[in-house]
Amino acid sequence: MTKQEKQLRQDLLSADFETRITAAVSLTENILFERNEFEESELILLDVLGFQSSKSGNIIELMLGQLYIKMSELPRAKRFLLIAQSSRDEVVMQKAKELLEFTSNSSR
Amino acid sequence: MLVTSSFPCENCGIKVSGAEGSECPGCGQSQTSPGRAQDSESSNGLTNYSDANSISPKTGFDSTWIDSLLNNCKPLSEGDLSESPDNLVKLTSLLKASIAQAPDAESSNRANSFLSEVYRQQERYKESFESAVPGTKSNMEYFKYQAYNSILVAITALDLHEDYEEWIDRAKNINFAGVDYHAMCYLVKNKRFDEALEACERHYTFNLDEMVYNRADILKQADRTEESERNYFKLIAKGPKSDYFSNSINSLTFSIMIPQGRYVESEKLLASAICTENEREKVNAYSNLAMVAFHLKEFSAAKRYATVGSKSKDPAIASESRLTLCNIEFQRLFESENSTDSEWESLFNQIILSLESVDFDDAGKFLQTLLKTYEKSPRQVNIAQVIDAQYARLTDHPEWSKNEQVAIEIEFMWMQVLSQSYLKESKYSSLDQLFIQALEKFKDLNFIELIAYLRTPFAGIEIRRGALQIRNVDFLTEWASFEQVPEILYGLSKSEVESVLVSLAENPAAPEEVCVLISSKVDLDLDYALSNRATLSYEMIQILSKSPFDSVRKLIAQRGDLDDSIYTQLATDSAILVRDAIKANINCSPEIKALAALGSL
Repeated sequence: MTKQEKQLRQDLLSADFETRITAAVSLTENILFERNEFEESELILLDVLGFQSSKSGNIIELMLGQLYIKMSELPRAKRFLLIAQSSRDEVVMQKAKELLEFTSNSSR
Repeated sequence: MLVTSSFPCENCGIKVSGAEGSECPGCGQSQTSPGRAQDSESSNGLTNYSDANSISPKTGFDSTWIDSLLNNCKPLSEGDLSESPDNLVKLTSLLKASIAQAPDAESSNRANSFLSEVYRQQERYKESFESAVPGTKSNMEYFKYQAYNSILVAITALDLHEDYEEWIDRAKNINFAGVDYHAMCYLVKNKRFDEALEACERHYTFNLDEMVYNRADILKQADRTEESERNYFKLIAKGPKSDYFSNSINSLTFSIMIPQGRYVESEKLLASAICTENEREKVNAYSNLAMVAFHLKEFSAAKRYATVGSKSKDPAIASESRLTLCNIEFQRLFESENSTDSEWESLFNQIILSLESVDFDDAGKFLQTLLKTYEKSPRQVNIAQVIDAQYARLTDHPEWSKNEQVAIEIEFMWMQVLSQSYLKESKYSSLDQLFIQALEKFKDLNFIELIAYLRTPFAGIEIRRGALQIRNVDFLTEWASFEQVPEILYGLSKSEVESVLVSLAENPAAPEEVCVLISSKVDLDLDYALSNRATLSYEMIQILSKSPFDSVRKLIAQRGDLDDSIYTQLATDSAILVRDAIKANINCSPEIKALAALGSL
């Protein structure tokens, strides 16, 4: 385990919700996805999903959407991406839109 | 159970809503309520007596004897007593023996109050009530309130309706803090929901969230689901920092949304509940999420979530998750064209294994899945033997006598499987024994195997007489259609249910007296069914030819087996359709037809 991973896992236990969310996103996107550790990624993301405020902008749903695409669970991916698509965060919304198009094309 | 997503109060065992650490309303420990019953922070209600150990300067009561007794009880009453039932039994013996030697009434009252609590923890409510009555006379509030708690719990558990008002009034008069909580439990159990809501409001005056949570639960039980949902959402809106956030999501989704098929909405809520710090609620959310994924036919996800639940320390959640895992596997094999015998066999064995550590509430569902799996598996096992062994094991379960609904479900399944096996093997005397036992209990169920047995000539008169006790309409309707024995047919004719009587009327074996009895009901469908019988006695024809229903007289007029006197009578019938039937009946003479034509002019 790298120093960075250790720190991120430590941050997952932070009392500050935003820190936890940022750590979960970073840990899954940069480390666990790379290692194809999808089940653990899912547990980590679900663990922080409820902490999101409107400020966080549904980034966790976007991450879960991406994860389920990787796991070939397209209907689940679609449902979470639909939530992310309604995000106030322009970047999240745009990315969700793109991925939704991708899932639609894949399921055709 | 009044509140779901809850935990039992460590003090009195009553289910308490909300997060762990909430104060129990059942035994009146609310710090803001008047008339606190107990002040102790100890982990169970039997270790609080140390607070009570004092010599009262007001009454001059010498508590040496009771202090000594309670100190002797102390080693037996510490820790989680649900895990050491032997200690409760030892405590009972010790207290009973000591009470007989109490030096004065007050000592006896206090010891009795304590004994009532010991009985209550063993769910021996009758004995708890009896010991609590003298306990209420104690002059020390601690023991008095403890005894009131035992009495009010017993009243609800034993449905002591005649005692309810009296003891509630008494509890109010001494300002017992738990009075409205107990009233709420009693009223909910007796489906007096509006009054229960009032009691809920009174009890939780100082804890709004707990009030809303319990309100939601009562409304749910009253089938006022929309109002219940609104109350849950009030708590969910408070966010994950609220103690009731995840409990409310779990209750709302499990009891309202999932049964309504609102899976996607449930999924969204449950995913947000997982962040809770409350481990039990977190795992519960996973377990519910597994169910949602299962309904959405997303079996891989369902399996992942149920696996989380199956590792729960809470046996109920772990058991429910194992059940979901078995159902997921069943569905996967069922929907796959390539599922093999060995996969079915492996699932069968997995269910048997799960049954060993089953939470009693799930036992019936596990057995159902086992039977479904057996239907699909290569059937190398004797299912009757397997079910018989499971049944024998489950009847020894401590919950067997307490959870009647599940016990009946299991027993009925056991009866069905065993009777199918006996029928197949023509073991008629075993069948007789089994059904006699069954008839004692299953008067309201449609016992298909018994129907199959009654169709055979091997079912004796005693079984047939016994089966007349069954009240299930589908059962009686089916039976009435083929029964042959006149005595039994007569017994069936006493039914007031139209479908049973129609079946009897259509049964060619129904004797004359049964037909007469049926016709006396003056019912169009019954008269119609009787008129369609292949053979009718002269008396029956006379009765039916005078039926108040035109369509029935028309049917009679169409028959070819009547005397001319009846044809003549019907030729002058007031209803044109009856006379027309006579005109068209080839069995009528030209004179009678002419008479009918004359009547039509």
